Amino acid sequence: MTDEQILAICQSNWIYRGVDDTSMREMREELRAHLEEAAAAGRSATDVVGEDVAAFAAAWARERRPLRQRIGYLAGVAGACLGTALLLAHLTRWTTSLPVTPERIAFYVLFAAVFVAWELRRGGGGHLRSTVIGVVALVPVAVAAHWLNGDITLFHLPLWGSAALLLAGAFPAVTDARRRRESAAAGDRSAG
Amino acid sequence: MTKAPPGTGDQRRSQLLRGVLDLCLLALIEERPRYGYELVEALAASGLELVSEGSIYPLLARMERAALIDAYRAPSAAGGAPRKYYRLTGAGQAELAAGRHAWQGFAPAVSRTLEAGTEGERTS
Repeated sequence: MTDEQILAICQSNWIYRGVDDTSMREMREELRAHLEEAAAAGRSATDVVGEDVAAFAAAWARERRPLRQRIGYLAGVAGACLGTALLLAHLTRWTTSLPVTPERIAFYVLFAAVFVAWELRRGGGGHLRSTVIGVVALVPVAVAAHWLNGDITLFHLPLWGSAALLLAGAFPAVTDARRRRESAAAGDRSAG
Repeated sequence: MTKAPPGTGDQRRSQLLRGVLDLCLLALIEERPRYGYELVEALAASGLELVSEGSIYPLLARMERAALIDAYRAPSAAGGAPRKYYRLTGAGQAELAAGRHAWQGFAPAVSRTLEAGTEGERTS
């Protein structure tokens, strides 16, 4: 396997796992320099990255952005999505009080679970794809919940409740995005 | 410099090294700022060969995230593109001191235990 092939495998793995551009550039250059020096000393690329290049890339990516950071961020994004969906429901029904039914709860809870699980597996970044997968997978769940429970209304959600959910979800997501931007900018400055 | 572990002895060495690799890296970085390849070379020069050289990078990333080390880019003596050099922080210095203290207590205890076993074999 050539150095370029190894770098390409690593890069696609890092993109897949949501490593930001600045970090990825830095990791790529660091690895490229190491591979070149190792080759000049007569060692193979396998000596550097091991037999499993994807596992090597994944281990490095996980240390750059660990699981608990990603869970906090994704829980925030899922909460913000949920809040937005509920606000849209208020708007389309033109009401300040939204009836909450079992199928609606089942749909949103499972949607959030699938969204977070899929994003964690994937590594973050492609929220649209995760959203589509969540919706497609969970429409049958909502239909089944509706079929089992009928039109029972458990409680009414006020408009401020939906807004609070949106803000509670947006806060950690925005904070995390800002921290990543600042960290990337600091990386650019030190690179310069 | 790098060897695949053909037998149990090398696997054992690899396992032992994995447990103290962070301390070894901190100690080497304490001597002077180094970049990744230099760290691998310095480890090999001390007789500590890694099964996969690149395994230092996730560890360096973890230590950088924990603020034990920080990094800057500078031209290398070998020439070529600037390298990412790692240097020790105050927290890294404290971690290294604690690690050395723990190792100085741990290593003789293991040696005593292993040697006691050897003497037991001799007497029986």
